[in-house]
Amino acid sequence: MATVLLDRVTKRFGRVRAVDGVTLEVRDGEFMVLLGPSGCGKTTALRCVAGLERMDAGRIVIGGEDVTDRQPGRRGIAMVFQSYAVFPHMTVRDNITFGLRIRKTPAEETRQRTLQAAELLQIGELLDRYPAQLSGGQRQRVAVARAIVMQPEVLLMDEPLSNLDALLRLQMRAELKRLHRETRATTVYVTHDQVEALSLGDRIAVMRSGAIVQCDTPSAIYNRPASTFVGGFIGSPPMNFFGGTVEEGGRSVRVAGTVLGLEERWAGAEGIRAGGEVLVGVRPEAFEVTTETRAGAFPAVVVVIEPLGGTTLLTVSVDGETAKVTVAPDTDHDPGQRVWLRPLPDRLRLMEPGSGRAVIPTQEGARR
Amino acid sequence: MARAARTALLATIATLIAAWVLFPILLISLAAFSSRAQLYSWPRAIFPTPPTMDTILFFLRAQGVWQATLNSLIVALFTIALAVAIGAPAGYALSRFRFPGREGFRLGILATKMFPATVLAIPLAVAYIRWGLYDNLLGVAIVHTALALPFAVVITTSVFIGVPMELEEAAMTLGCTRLQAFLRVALPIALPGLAAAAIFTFVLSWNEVFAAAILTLHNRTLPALLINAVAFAGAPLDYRFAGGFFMIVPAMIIIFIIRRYLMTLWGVTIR
Ligand SMILES: Nc1ncnc2c1ncn2[C@@H]1O[C@H](COP(=O)(O)OP(=O)(O)OP(=O)(O)O)[C@@H](O)[C@H]1O
Ligand SMILES: [Mg+2]
Repeated sequence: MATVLLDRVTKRFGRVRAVDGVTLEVRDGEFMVLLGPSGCGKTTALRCVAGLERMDAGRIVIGGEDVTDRQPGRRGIAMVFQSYAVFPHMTVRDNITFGLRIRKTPAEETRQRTLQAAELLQIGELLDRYPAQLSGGQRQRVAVARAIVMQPEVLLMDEPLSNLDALLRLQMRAELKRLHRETRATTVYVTHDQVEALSLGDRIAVMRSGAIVQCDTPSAIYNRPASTFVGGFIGSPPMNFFGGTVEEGGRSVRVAGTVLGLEERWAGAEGIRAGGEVLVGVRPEAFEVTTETRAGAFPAVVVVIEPLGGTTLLTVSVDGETAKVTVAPDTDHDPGQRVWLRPLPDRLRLMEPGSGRAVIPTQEGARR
Repeated sequence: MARAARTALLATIATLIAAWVLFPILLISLAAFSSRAQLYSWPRAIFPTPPTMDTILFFLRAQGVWQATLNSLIVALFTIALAVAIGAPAGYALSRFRFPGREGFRLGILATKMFPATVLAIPLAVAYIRWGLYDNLLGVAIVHTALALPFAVVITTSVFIGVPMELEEAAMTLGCTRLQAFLRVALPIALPGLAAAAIFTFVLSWNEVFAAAILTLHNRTLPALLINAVAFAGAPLDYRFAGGFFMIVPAMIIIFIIRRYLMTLWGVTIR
């Protein structure tokens, strides 16, 4: 087990900066998720850690040792590829023992570790099959077994679940979580699926255009996104943003002609000036929805109603802008109905309209 | 309607081309099993009555045939070794690395096929005499390698493109060096394709007559022996037909076996 440090890592492909000065510290035994939209540089960052990509600048430090100039096989890492990269010309057993054989591990130890890994991944009956005779999910397990049998200090995974169907993905997600609890290997896990990220990660590093825009615990990322990008990328449906004007020196904000009271901590925050513009960010589930007007609630018109089983999703129109609101499934709403939305004051976030950066309220640190 | 017409037209053209190639082969094969008397009779019967092995046996017992066959095999094996040893690394590089001039290199390889070998004949013969390679089987193999190399490179490139880079990378994360990853993962997976390239090279060398004929005198390969017998020594008809048949059969069988690889080479897959 070891810490992993990406120190100002930059990797260019021609003119594209796939990874642009990324610094990220992964703690010993931590499950770190790299999350971001397609093409933001997650895979490239992971490959830099693995040593499969020659970096243009920066260092990789694993377990306190600078491994920047070391071969992939000498970094104490193991990797699970998105395509699994299971060797097609070898049986499952030979796939799993491949790394141990390269390392010249004694036969008896190889046998035991192979059985152990196979048991952990529940592929004991498949050991004599060839990859062509396996399903996608089984192949994925072989790829993971092949990695963990090496007992790596650091386990790297690149979207290992993306090729599985929804049900299997759910099941494998839980298994990966169990696996991490049992092996405690420091893990860097790449995904573009925010649900996966929220459910697996001890911490999540959100990437955009080759840079990390926020790195924090899942709940912090979800509840206190550092920018409109993070708020809009994470959560399904994503965070709503309403244009507003600061009033009373930061004690309230006017949205859709309605005055919303703000908690005290916003008043002194940087970027909050009376008369200034802000974006008010509210998660879909952080509204109180009523059919009558009341203080701190702004009017909206229901446009679409989507029952999702556990909740019902309303698409509403606020001053011509659409917003998404989740409500309890037993509530009665009709298209065209007029409703009032009251954002829960403690769940509301403010962002700077130009940069999209979150306004940091005073005493945020103390609340954590 | 128009589509049916197009299909019919296509089928007709394909049939004509196939007939153009197959008809002579058929005639040669039939003649190879006809008796000598039948071959020289007029009007000549198309079907051998009765079929006989005499003609083939006569050819096989003719002087120099076995030695020439052996020579052909030796040249072909040398050619395979050289073409694969040079072509496979080039194919691997083309499939794996982006480097300046990569496209130019690819085109250059094919462009060598546009150069007429006839133009080279005299200078080549002179150079070979000077270098002591004249009438030497290795010398013939070198020319055959030059002829086969473009195909070897093109085939091996497509073979290695079919082996995902991630497999080698996975091997490297498991402790292999670059070379080990190639030898233990990429090479075994590519082996059937490389075998196809080797066999294709064999056919090319086995059938090549021009260079073999000008560059040898006593150490004839089979095609060189035949062309000499036919063109200058006035070999009898039965010798010609049996020789032709003997040349065609291995090539036909081999091409039939590796046709799947040759097809994928041109982006067509048959199942
Ligand atoms: N080998 C390469 N050559 C050129 N450009 C590349 C190469 N690999 C990646 N890129 C570019 O670098 C950027 C980052 O790619 P990367 O594969 O890291 O994205 P990603 O975040 O993993 O995306 P995805 O979620 O789609 O896998 C992209 O713009 C991509 O086009
Ligand atoms: Mg990727």
